[in-house]
Amino acid sequence: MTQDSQQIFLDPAIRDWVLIPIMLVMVLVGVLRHYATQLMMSMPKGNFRGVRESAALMRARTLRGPPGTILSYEAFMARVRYLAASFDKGAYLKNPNAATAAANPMSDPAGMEAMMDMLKKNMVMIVPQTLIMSWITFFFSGFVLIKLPFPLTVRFKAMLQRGVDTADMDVTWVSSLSWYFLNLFGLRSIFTLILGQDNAAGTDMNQMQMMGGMMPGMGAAQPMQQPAEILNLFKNEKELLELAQWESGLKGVELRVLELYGERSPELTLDEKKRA
Amino acid sequence: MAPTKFNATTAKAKLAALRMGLVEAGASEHTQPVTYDPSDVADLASQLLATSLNPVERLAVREQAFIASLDSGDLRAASAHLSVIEKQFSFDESVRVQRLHGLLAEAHGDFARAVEIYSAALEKDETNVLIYKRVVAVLVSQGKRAEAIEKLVAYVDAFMQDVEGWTELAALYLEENMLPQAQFCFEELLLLRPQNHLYHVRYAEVLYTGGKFELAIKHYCAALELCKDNVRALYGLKVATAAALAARAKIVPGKGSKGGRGSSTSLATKDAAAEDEAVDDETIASLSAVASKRLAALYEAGGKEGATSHSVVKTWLAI
Repeated sequence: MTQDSQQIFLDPAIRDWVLIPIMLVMVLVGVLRHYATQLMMSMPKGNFRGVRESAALMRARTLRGPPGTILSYEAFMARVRYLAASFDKGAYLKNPNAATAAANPMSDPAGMEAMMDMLKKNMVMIVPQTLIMSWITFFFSGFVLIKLPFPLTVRFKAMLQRGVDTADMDVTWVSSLSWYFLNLFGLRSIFTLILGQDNAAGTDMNQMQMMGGMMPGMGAAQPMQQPAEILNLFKNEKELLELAQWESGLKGVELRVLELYGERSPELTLDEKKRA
Repeated sequence: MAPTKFNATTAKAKLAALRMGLVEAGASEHTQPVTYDPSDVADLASQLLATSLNPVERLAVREQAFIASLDSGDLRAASAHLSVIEKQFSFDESVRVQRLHGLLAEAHGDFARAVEIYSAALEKDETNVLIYKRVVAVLVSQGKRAEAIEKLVAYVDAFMQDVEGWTELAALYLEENMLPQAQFCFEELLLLRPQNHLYHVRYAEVLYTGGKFELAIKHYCAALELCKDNVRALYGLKVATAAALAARAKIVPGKGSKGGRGSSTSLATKDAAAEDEAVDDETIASLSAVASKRLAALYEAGGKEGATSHSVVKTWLAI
């Protein structure tokens, strides 16, 4: 397939009235979307009891972790007993009657809010995209806009010539709909230039997937977490607390300090360890 | 510090360091430690605001200038800054601006108004840590320590990982002479920041005051291990070792290390714990000797300026 076998001349008007406008519209819509999301985003509202709940879990984790050994035995045991007891009673749960409540995220106002936020975000993404796509398919379907300056294999035909069902055309020609898709995924770095690093303009596949698991700050629990799950977390933590071993983290500090000041040779300690 | 030559970049860096709290984070290893001097900050900030800044940083500097003017008592400048900020974020919208208004009211001495603003702000955002702290601070500056403790306990019950909260609570308890409670707070602080020798020292001081000399010795030693030649820890060690030896001599001369320990826990672990914590008299005596030696050496190294304090310390150590 040689170059001259397909001498197609494109009208410069196509460049001026189709190619550039599509790109321009895409950029503008991206910028608009960025500002629309900023407007619609409600501040992630913290929940006092939610913070308390996750803080309690974290506290238990620190206690049975390495820092716990620094406490004296009585202090450590008092904390373990207290936390285990209150975990057992569910004193730190966000809603203490969660065990009996229906496992429906809709019933939790906080979960509801998070879902609304996600819905808003998706709406801002999807609505302009469908509009632009229908605009392009309506006005410019079947247009060939540019020719790529490098050869490509036939496999790219589906990607670059969407909307143009011609079997013989060279792969390097790009149709209007494909130009739209190229823009959709390729404008990210341009948006970063215009709007800065954390913009909401582009569509990133990773981002879309992440959105489901994203957590609001302050170390709060996931918005979609089921109450029953949290109850299990607490039960688990309680068992781990009860199994927690205490060993003084300050064992032999005095001897180490004496060594530090050269009042005692390190060999002696080794000897003592053997004896012990 | 006379601003003979105003350098925008260094001013920016200094203000940013103060704002972000890089000083506390220990990032000042290669940079010079920055100290907070309100009038200096207000000065730098107002000069910086005259230059071109990006809008986000401009607001941040403006807020910093506002707080610095409050700290240096220049209330009129503070109100001017606040009204500029308010042009961008209205009082009703932004909890942060509400907090600034509360600060201004506090500076004017209008505590009732400040509390009113804060409680309204907390209704809007019930997890705003800064505002909780302000409420406590208002109570403290009014001298209502018991109420402040009450509020702070409720706060710390939810924000259990907040080091500042525990520190303040410990300080309040100490002012009220509630030693066991203060001890609890310091234990929490040690859990959260086990590598901070200052918490070890302060915990040990509380323990010593409460008569738990052996555990106090442990924590003084831990502090010395983390920060060699910490004078406060050395003094503490000296005093605590003397007290521990005296206490032991009173009970049973020789092996009397079981005194003063808590009660009723499961047997096996309890014994192991006791063994871990036991320190023999010999070690305590040599610790005491080390503390005296180091203290004397440290003051001697102070040279001529420390001559008087050196002699004072020497006589104290001789007792």
